[in-house]
Amino acid sequence: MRMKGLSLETIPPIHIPFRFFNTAPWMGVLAALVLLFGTGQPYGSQWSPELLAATHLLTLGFMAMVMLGAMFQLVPVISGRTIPGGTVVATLVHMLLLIGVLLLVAGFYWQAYWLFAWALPVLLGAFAVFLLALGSLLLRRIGGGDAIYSIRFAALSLLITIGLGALRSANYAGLLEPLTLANIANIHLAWGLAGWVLLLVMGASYQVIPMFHVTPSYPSLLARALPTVVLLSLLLLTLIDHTVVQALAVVALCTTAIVYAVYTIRLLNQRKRKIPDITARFWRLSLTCLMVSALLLLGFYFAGHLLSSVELQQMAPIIIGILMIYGFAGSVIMGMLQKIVPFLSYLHLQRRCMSSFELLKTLPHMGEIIPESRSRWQFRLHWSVLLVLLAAAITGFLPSLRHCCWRQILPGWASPWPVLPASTTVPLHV
Amino acid sequence: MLIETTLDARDMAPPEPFDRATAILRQLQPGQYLRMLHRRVPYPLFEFCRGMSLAYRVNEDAAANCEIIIYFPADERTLRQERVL
Repeated sequence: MRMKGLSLETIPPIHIPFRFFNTAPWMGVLAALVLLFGTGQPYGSQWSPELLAATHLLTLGFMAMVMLGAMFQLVPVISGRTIPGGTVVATLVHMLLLIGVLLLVAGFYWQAYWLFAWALPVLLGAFAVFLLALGSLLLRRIGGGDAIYSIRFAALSLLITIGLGALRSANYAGLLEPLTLANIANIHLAWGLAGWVLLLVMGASYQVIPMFHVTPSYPSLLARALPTVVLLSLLLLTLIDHTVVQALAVVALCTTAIVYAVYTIRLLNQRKRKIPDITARFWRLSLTCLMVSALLLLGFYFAGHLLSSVELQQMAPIIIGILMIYGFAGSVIMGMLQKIVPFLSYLHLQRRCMSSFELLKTLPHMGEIIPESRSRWQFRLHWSVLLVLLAAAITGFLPSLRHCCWRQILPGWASPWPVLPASTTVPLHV
Repeated sequence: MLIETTLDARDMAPPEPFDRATAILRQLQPGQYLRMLHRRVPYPLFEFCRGMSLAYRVNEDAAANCEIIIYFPADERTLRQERVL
């Protein structure tokens, strides 16, 4: 993705990305409430209704919500074309995604699987409208580059994840006969986390790590080899049901994740000016979670049968899920928002002040829009939440600790809210 | 003779180059200009320049480093005579 030819004239109105960014934290809050007030044993199994509901609130409600909002912002800028009917399309995608997620989550939570028959077309509608409006623009107008190479694989993984999820939901809702692919839920999970999330983060990092943190670039060979190995491993895991092949694919996938994490941390350590940077801290936390997830997956895959306790065997996938979803993807997203939100807010304010020199001179510095102290607090809350989430999963059978943990998680999830530009700041300059 | 202010932002992480540049441009007077060195073209800064009715020129070298000259349009002729542009 080359930054040359960036077209800021086509930047959409700020309410388009921000409606997604403002909705996303509430999905996190809802996930916390689901686990807090759930009647069952959320950590008893990775398939418990509460955990499935919370997982989809985080992956679709939080992660996909932010990612789609960011794409509505990014695509017009890099393609140089406005989205036809931008506000209408964004409103439609936002509403469909929100309604679809809530229906899906309600279906999981109350085990009212008939709701999937409604959630499925609504969610598919959200992604279809998004792809129709933006996908073709993205494919046609953006050239090569290591970032796009990985992002295209990520988009393919997203389609496969949605497809597998849709099949599974249709199966739950009784719209389809039981599927022949018995392991479909695990494959859906693998494509979602290792495909869509990891490949998208990889692609984004190729662009933003050197740009935001002034580091050397990723070597092109490595930048292309990593996503290729991830994609091939996922294809092998999905298509070839042979013990040795599956084992090799797991080793390749985990090794790739570890190599990527180690190399990126090394790049971050080569920043030209090592001044404190919250986004860099979010990145380090995220990459550490990725490495630990990969090591745990390797250990669990090859030595899981040695675990004597069934509870331990059930706990490992939950720990990996927490590390990958909240620790890896959640950290990257929150870290990136620290950079994106001030930039968009500033650009918006700048446009509103273009008519007057004097107004333009009163604009706050971009770095002041989210005060550093507030970012630091969000980071502290974020890693505290990660720790208590892991503690809650490990000691998931102690209701008192569980409640204590979620009391801390709620403010942590609400914390992305105050990082948005303070409403007291904006009117002063518009 | 025009007065040059230099800002070497090649090692700065965003948004520091933008913030430092706009801080200088807010104080810029006719007869002064900003020479900014950056590792990429700072597109958002140009919008700020247009709002301030400032002109700009970008020179990109082979190593993809950019030199950006930001000035008052009235000073363009002098800048040419001084071989800044």
